[in-house]
This record gives sequence, structure tokens and C-alpha cells, in this order.
Amino acid sequence: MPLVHIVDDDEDVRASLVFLFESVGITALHYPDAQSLLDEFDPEEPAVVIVDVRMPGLSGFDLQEQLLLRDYPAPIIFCSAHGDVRMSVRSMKRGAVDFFMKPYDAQDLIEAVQSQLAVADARFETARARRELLQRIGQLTSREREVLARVIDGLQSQVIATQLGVSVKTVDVHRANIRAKTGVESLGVLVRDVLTHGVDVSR
Amino acid sequence: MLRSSEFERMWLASEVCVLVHEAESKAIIWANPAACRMLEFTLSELIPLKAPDMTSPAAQYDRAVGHAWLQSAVDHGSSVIEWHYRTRSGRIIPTEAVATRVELEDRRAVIVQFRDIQRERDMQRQLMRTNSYVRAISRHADAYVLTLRSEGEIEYATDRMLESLGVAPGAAPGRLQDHAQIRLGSSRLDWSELCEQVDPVASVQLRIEREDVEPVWLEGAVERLSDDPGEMYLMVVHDASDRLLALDRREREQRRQHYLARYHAMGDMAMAIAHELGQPLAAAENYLRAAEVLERDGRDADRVVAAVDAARRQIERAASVVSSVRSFVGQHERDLERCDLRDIVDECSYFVEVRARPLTIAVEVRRGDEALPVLCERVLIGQAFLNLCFNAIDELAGMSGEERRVEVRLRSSAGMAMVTVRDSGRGIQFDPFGIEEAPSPRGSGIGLVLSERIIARHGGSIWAKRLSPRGSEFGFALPLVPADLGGME
Repeated sequence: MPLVHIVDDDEDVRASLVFLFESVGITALHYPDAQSLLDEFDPEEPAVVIVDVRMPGLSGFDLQEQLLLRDYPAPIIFCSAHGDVRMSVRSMKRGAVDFFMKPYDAQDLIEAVQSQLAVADARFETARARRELLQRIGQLTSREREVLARVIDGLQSQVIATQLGVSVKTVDVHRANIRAKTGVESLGVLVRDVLTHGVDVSR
Repeated sequence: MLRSSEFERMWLASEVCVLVHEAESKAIIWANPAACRMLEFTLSELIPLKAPDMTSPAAQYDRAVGHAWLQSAVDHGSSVIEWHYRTRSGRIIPTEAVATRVELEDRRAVIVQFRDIQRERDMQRQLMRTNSYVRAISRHADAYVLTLRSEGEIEYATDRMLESLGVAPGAAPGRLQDHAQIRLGSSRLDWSELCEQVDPVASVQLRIEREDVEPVWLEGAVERLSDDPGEMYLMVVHDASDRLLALDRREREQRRQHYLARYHAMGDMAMAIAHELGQPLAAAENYLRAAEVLERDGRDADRVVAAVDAARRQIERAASVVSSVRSFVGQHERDLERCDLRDIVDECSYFVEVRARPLTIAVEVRRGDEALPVLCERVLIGQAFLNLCFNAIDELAGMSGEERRVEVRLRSSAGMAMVTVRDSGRGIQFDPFGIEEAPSPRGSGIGLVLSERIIARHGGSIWAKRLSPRGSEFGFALPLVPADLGGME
């Protein structure tokens, strides 16, 4: 099951959150500031992040930005003791899933985290699959990528051969190599995965 | 009883001029010495004179008019006329002449008694002239003039004054203080208190309030016209509404700003308090919810107890926030009270810390060992201090990397309690006390302009200076009060 990362400069609040999540069987790791999280967390481990808005050093929003830059897929829940509507709107626009104003009903927080744990599972699985796909495509030569890009565009081998100025037989060899290197049963499956994850194969 | 010869002597001695005319012919048959003196004729010269010889040549003193007047007395017993006689030397003498019919032994006669009314007429003319001068002067000098009796009843007032007082034309004006507030400086007086000030002149202000219009302010002087306090008072005032209304408005504006200062002080604090209370309350909520879950699942009882204990500690933390706020706001927030400037700074430091901590700005307070007793409105001075600190913090918040610190120092110097707030920022970039103050990024501060006003109202001074090589210093000084003075106890 995914775990929870708690980032809050208030030690008492951190400790109480860890206690709360342990009581409902959720593992929680905690950090006194945003930089500690960035230094210590495992980006591939499925998780939900709970972060305070105002903290010394990087603010909660700064952390959100850093995590977006790293394509970190964890759902982010904000907590703040400063009531500010604009603040919550801004964080939600950038993909935060929830915004809690302290003091809040802890039951609401538990329920929000529990529902986000399932979301986290799915998002991290997707991220893992995408990483794997990128890694497989990364093994292709640039010529093979040119061929793959045209297959994705739905072109026939003959058309691809004409465009690239090679024989149809050569195109077929490339197709066989692409299948072998990426370990797929058919190019159709690969094309579906590439489109699903929105991967740009020409790079 | 008087004898008849004595009556003759009385007529001869009388200062009233007497001419006796024969009723039928209207010819003069006698004149007393007073009449002879005035007309400059002897009795024998006078008797043959005809009317044109001794009256003004003006048409209204024609002989026929004179005859008619005397005849009217003959017919009706008496008749009065304003008659202009002419003396031998040609001088015209206006008189009020009374003709009375009298029955002598053998004939009927008319006695004319008259006296020179020139002096009365001159005086009357002079009075009228004076009156019109007063009116003209009051019109041109924008002056309002009124005279008052000792009890404050208005005896005379110029038309403008009556209009200002709201007295209808022709109505009895009544007492001044029924129409206007009598003021001297900022205090309100009644008429008798004003009279005590008059020695023999006092300055005075009148404030006249009427429905639907701005109040009218009159300003001037009142003077006692006699040494006897039971006599008349003359008041000359002019319209000072513009100046005094502006003063009035300024005072109201100041009150409003002090209200705002207090309001903002509360607003700033409310934000800080909301945050400070939110943390422990959230933590307590977390613990109690956990305790509930653990209890429901019938798990480790010790964990339940630990959770409840932890929640109680968080509630205690919240309570301590509440008491620090209570001690800051206190009971006497609107009163001047004697307090130690160090205590105010201590109370505020909590809020400075609350704002500085999330920005990792170091705040150092050097309060010193010396007592700094001052007489002040605690909340306002606290707000002025907070304002200097928040400015310093805001200045540093925009910087990164370098050392970011705020240093607060308290000391006494030359009879003043001084507090200075130094920051390690860029130094002053603009006139900090100017109206065009750079907007505070947080927008909730009351600004240095208002701090300046607060400090000035407490008889202190406020300053700002650029430090070398960087940073700035803001500070204020309040007069120290002696240890045994100025307490509110």
C-alpha cells in the first residue's frame, strides 16, 4: 500500500499526523521542511504527500513546483493554518487534490488520504509503465525511431520505404528489430502503449 | 398757594420759550425772555413782527400754515407742529411748538411754547449714522454684531447674525445659548462662564447647528461695555466655518485613523492568532480522532491514553496562545497607562516571532536592564513597534542568501525611552514617512505615516536612517515619566 509523506514545520502537528495515520494502518514518513523531502524521498515509491503551505525555506507551493518538474505523480494535499481562498485556488490549479484549513475534521483528512491512496497506486503504476516504455524505446536506433514514428502515423511499409528512400525489405527488417528490442508481440501493442502514454518517439 | 404775581415771575424765569398770540388776529401780544433770547429780538421789537419776519422761508412754514395751526388751537384747545423759526441773524431754529388756547380776562389768546430741538435732532441723526456705520461695517467686514444683556438675552443683532442664528425676522431673538453653542477652544461654556472670562474682553466661538446644513462656526470677541458686570456685552464675530470645520474634520479623521490603527492591530494579530491556534487545534484533533479509532478497534489501551494525553498538551498550547493575546490586549486598551516600554516590546515580540519564523529571519531583542516607564496607549505603541518590525521583516523577506536579521534595542537617552529596529536589508529607498509610501507587500500594516502620528500624539519622535554599509534603522522615542507620576492606579 502506498505511504504518506508529511511535510510540516510544526513538530507537534507532524507527530500527531503520524500517530493518526498509524492508528488507521497507514505508514507515514515525516519531514520538517520541503528540502528534506526532496533529499530523502524515493520518487518511485507510491505515496500521497501532505504539505503545509507556509514553511521556512521552500514553501508548500515551491515544493509542489519542484515535484511537478520531476514528474512526481503523487497526489498532493495542502494544509494551512492561514485561511486564504486565493492560495487554495492557486494550488488546486496546479493539480493539488485537496486543501485543508487547520483546524479541520481529522476524519475528513483520513478519508481524503484513503481515497488518494488508490489514486496514487494507479498513478504510480502508470508512471512505472511509462518509464519502462521510454526505457524500451530508448534502445532503438534513430532509423528505427523514424520507421516507428511512421508506423504510428498508420503508413504502409511501401510508403515508409519510399519516404525514407530504402527498399520495402529493409523497412520490414527494421520492424522486426523494433519488435525484438522492445519485447512486444506485435507493433500494434507498442503503438497503443506509445499513444496511451503520449510518448514522443522521435526524440 | 401761589399768588398771581408769582405766576408772572415763573413765566419770566422759564427756559421754555413762550409767545402769546391774539386768537383773532394771530398777532404777537407777548413773549417771555427765553423766547426773546432765542429769536434775538426785544419784546418791543417782537410785537409788531409778522410771521414771515420770524419763520423759515421754506414753503412748509408759509404764513397760511402758521395761521391754520394757531386757528386749530383756537378751535380745538391745542395743536402741535414742528415749526422752524428764524432769528434776527437769520439762523433757522427747528422746534416742536405747542399752541394752546387760553381765555384771558377780556379776550381769547393762544400760547405757543417751543424749544430748540436741534440738539436732539443732531443726536438722533448721529445715532442713525452710527447705526448705519455698524451695519455697513458688519456687511463689509463679514462681521456679525450683537449686543447682549447680562443674562445673555440678545438685545440687538445684525440681520446676518439673526439669520445665522435662525431667528425669524421680527421674532424675539431670546437668549444666545438657545441658538448657539458657546465655546472657547475645545471646551463648551454657558453664558455665565463666558462672562467670567470677560475682563473686559474675551475671545469666543459660536457653533450653530441647524437641520440639513453644515454647522456654522463664528469666531471673535466679546467685550463688556461697562465696568458694572450687570451691563451690556458687545460681541463681534466673523464666520470661521471653513477653518474650524476643517479643524473639526481633521480631529474626526484622526479619531478614525486611530480606530483604524487599532482595527489593523487587531487584524494583524487575528491573522497571527488564527495560525497559532490552528496548529495545536489541528494536532489535538488528529490525536483525538486517532484515540477514537483505536478505542473502536479495541486495540492497545495505552495508545488511547497516550493519544488523549497528547491532545490535552496541544489544547494547553492553544490556551497559552490565548492568554498571551489576552495579556497583550489587556483591559485598558483605550486609556493612557503607565507601563514599561520593555513590557510592550516583550508582548509584541511574540507576534514578531510568529511572522519572522516562517521566513527564517533571526530576531534579536536586547531589552537592557533599565526600566523604561512611559505613559501611553499600550495597544497603539505596540502597533507602532510591530509596524517597524514588520517593515524590517518585509524588507528582508525579499532577499535571499545573505544574513537576514532584525535587531531590536531598548535604552534611555536624555529623558526619553528609545526603541530602535535595525535590519540588514538594502537600506531606505524612499522617504519612509511620505504620503506616497511604497505599498507593503502584505498590505495589512498601518504604515509608517500612522506610526508617526501615534508617536507624535504621545509627545515622542520617530526617525529612520540608512546604515552603513547596508541596512536601515527605524526607531522612536517617548518621554520617560518619573516613577511616582502618571499612574492609572
